[in-house]
Amino acid sequence: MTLQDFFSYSSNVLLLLNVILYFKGFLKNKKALIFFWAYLLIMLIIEIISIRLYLKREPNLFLSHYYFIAQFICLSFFYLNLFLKKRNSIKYITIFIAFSLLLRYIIWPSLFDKFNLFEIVLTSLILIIYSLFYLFINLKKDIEYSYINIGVLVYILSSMLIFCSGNLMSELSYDVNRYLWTVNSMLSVIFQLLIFYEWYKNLRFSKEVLKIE
Amino acid sequence: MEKLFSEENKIIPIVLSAIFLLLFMAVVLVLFFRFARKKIVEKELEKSAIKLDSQKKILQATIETQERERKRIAQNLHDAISAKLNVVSLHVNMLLDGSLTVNEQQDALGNVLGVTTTVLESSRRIAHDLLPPILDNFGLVEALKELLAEFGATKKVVTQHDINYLTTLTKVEELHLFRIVQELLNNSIRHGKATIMRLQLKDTDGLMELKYKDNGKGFLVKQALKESGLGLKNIKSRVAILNGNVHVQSKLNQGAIFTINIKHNSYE
Repeated sequence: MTLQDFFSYSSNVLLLLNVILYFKGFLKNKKALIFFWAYLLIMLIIEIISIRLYLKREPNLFLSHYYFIAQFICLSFFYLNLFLKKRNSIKYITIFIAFSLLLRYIIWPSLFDKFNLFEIVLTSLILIIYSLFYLFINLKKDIEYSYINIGVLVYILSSMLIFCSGNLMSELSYDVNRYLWTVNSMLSVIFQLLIFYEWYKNLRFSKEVLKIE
Repeated sequence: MEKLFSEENKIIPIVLSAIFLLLFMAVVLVLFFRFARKKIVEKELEKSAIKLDSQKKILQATIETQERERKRIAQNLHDAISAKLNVVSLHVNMLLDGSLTVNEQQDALGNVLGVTTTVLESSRRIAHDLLPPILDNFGLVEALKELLAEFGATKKVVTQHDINYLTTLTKVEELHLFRIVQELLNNSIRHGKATIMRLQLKDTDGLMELKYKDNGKGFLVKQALKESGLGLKNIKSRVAILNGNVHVQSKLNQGAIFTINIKHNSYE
């Protein structure tokens, strides 16, 4: 088993674990958590499909577009529910951006086979800005899901560059490519660990149980 | 092939180091925010500790004042009323015995009457000291004038006043102001041995200024504020309750000037 396999397996296992663990939050009907759970679930589905395609030796790169747009929508609404509840305009802008990105592929289907730099940078940067703002709020008061927030900041900021260089890298040999995806898997493991840690620290027990203790 | 590979090798380190740079930046950002937050929380804690401390001091002063006041009232009641009533009771007992001559009876009754009159006078005075009825009935201006006149009536001191007041404070606030002036006068006589006291009250749009001046011994302001006794503490906390600020100006042997500014809404 190569290093990359190790990282990608463990990140997938952690992802599956987190999907199961965060399902409880979904049941608790906390809006922000529902969006985050949806994000985890979609990531898991995309991951499964991409592995299946990979095993069949079929191209799976087009999934990246679903990945980025879904990530953008879910995490945007996650943050919107956390600290921008009254900003309806931001909701509409988020939906507008997502649709306009999708529209491009309907008009020019050939774009589907490549990484779209504009899409990657736009969606990632907006999420990074949300995350930084949320971190800034943390200066004054305690915030919910601070570890998730740190994970989003660290993972999206650094993985943005990996995906941006994806087009360039795919033209190079597989051996060279592998380094990059190993790093990406490693970052993904860190992200999933932070998500798990958030659950372990703050969501494991419901608040009522803590009070009785 | 070799050439291509070497070119690839050039790109990979650059991309990898850029990725790690971004990762590093993200981590530094997170750490920076954590530390900044810690600092801010510490500062806030410090602030609230200081606030709590001053509140504690005010509370302590309040309790001390209350205790002192109770002691004074107890003393007054004991001296002026209980002792005198004892005398009355003694005389009445003698009268009940019935062994007295008519003249002696007359004397005893006269005594009883005299003592009762003084007791009445004392109880009136004690009540008056506790809460001057004039403040309730005739307002702050009359109460202050009477207070100054009472001090002036001793002939040992001269009091002057220039009071311009538009009735903008509530009854409770008026009482605070009255007590402040009372305390100032007491301090001037007790500690400053002053002979001339002057009170000036200006009440203009939204700002009330109370200026009090005496010709007493004076004191070192910084020292006095630091080790402020009950009187000064009392004044400070009352001014704080009135949402005002107090400014003290004094030098040894040159008297003292107290300026109290109170902001208020004059047309409420």
